[in-house]
Amino acid sequence: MGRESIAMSDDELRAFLGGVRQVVVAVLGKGGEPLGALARCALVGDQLVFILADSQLCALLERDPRVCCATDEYPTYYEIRGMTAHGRARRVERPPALEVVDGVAYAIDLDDVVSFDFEKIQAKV
Amino acid sequence: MKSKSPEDLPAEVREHLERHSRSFLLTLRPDGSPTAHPMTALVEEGGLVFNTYRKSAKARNVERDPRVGVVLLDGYDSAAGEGCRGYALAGDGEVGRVEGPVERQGAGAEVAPGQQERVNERLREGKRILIRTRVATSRSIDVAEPS
Repeated sequence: MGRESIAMSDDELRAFLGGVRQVVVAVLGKGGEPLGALARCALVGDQLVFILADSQLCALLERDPRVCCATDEYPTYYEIRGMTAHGRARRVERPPALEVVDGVAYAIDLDDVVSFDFEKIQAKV
Repeated sequence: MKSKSPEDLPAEVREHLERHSRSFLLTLRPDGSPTAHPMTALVEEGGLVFNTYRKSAKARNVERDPRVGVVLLDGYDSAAGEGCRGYALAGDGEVGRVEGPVERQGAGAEVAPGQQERVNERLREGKRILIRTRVATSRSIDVAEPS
């Protein structure tokens, strides 16, 4: 028997991301190692737009655009929800929702996302 | 960025972990691209340890390439628009088994009743493993504030 799916549906994911204001961003260092940062973000259409304030990480992202954005929430154990989006970052115009935040705006598509919603766990302890 | 010898967890990071445990373990996927895994970070002998399934993507990623990053955050206020702050760490990870139960040290987030016992049982069975990390560098991080 396979593991049950606790992934969010597309609509659930969009509703979740609509309330998210910041994400953890993972980029690749010069040697290909994973480096992390925090970024303000907003869901704009079918893209996740984030503002990267660290100029060194911006330079790394310009060098290799492969990126990951992740976030979660943890009100209680069975209300844990989160997602991890993978893609290639591209520079975009700053959206109105993020126009007052310093940094460089990047966007990724949401076609490679892993999500989870612990409310969907059937066999609760 | 502060360089530290492995196993020497920076004092400010240790102090942070006494109050907060929200973290993301960063690993490399098979194609070399970065990925992030929401985790609870626990302190163990100067390093950080993460508890996960042996067959999980994160465990397989670390076994294939031990280079990891860790982002430690001070809360879950992103939905409210509050700015989290924390630390970004870099170093190596190692997958290992344990014989006894894992003690939750520091500010571990609450788990469901009975969940910790089930986790310890699966650690003993080898279905779950620990990813131990040796921290080499650390830097403080926060999000960009409105200008």
